[in-house]
Amino acid sequence: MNSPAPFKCCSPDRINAVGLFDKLASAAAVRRDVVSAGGLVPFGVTVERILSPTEGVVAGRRVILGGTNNYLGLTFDPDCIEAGVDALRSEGTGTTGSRMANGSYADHLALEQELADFYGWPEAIVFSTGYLANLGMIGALASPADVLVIDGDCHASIYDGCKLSGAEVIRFRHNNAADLDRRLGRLGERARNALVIVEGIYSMLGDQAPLADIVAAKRRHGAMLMVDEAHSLGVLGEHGRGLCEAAGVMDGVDFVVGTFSKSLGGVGGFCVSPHHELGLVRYTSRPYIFTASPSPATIASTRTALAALRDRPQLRARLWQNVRRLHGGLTALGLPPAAPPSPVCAIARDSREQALADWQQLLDAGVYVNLMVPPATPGGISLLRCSIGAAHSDAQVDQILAAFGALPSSSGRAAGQVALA
Amino acid sequence: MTLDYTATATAGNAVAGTGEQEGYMVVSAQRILETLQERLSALTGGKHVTGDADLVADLGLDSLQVMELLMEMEDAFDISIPVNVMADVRTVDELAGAVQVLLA
Repeated sequence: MNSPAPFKCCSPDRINAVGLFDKLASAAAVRRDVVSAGGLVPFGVTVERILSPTEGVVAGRRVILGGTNNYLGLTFDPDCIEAGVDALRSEGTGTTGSRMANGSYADHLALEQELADFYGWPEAIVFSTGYLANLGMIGALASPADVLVIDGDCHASIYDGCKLSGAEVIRFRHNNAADLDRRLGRLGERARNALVIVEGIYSMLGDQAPLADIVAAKRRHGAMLMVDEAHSLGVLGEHGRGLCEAAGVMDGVDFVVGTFSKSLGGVGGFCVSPHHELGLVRYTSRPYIFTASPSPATIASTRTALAALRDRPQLRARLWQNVRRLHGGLTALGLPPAAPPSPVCAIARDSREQALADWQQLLDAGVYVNLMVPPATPGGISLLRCSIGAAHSDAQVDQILAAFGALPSSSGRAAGQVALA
Repeated sequence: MTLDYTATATAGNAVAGTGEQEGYMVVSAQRILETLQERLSALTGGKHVTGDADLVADLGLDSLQVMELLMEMEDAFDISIPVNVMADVRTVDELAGAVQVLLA
């Protein structure tokens, strides 16, 4: 494997460099420990060729992609590609600067308007990535005098946004609204300056927030609520607006943040809010001000994908058919996913070694999934994370199931039998 | 970084081993340390926990266990412990000190 060559300490400058790099040694050790029998490091795998929304070439082998977040399968959608190509030709390759300094293109504003309209709220802000949307919103909304009350299993971008804000950070136990209620209660009057942050679908296990109870708690204490719908936009809710819609609490949510990089098949992030003040965030949000704006092609394909999400509910219906087929199949194989049916099916393994061996076996069988190990996972567990999208065919889902069925810990029923059961 | 101890510092609910005066909880430094040692012992599978033990280097806690410990202390003493406090805490004694300031 391409492990970095050791530094030769030949000058004082080099000695300092080694000191800084020492901190990376433990990460390098983890990387050394997690090499599969096939000689692969499962983190940051190279997809040598991408063939379609559902297929690619990994380690020289054609595989089904069962570890992407291509929930609506739109990455190769002809309309989205056409829109992107048109914009690339007519508006160029990049914007070469930030929206605050260099200005917004009309299409940035058009996408913001379309996002706001999609939620029926007055305003939206587009950020350059989903990660930056969390940094940009949390960093701008909270100051050191405020309190952020976050679910303990929140994504790293939320933690980093909290750090950027300098606010006091209190965690509550994952998906435990009573625990949130207790912690807001302890804040007393300060709860009125608190922002509660949760996710629609948590990316590690694929579980959903108990949003109605969370909204009730935040209302009881006068706090505000931000919901990160990165994995639930286009996936949940009658119109695909996410968990806020599915849980019937659109009127109890103050900010929805999300990403273009999953169900919309692009890259970028956004925040949308029923509060007219949202626009003011642009003037104080460093991750909005000090980074280049999304490229014209990105904006154009995202606008087309948002229209598809809105106007083609059959994509969501197809996604859920596949979710039920995969979740039911895995359960029948004695490999029950960690959460109720969701596009993310996470299978807990007894040890990191077992997870690694299973991961390689799945790859050998032509199925690429994600390997997740501590500390990225909650509770110190190792996981095989399989995600499914609308573009997978029944035959592909069955092939994924057959590969899982051949794992030593599976009950071994053939996937075909499962699908027919 | 200096600690921000302006957080909720008093608590209403009685806790085992504490005395109450005019609605405020009085918790001795000893009681805080004992509670911490108890929780840490459970988290580390029965390790003997001294006050000068480093939570990470000596007791081997990972970030998730530190998180869990903070939440258990919050519930044991009915206080809010901002995550930020941990930036200046390395040892069991230092965490006990931080909890005591929050209770003061």
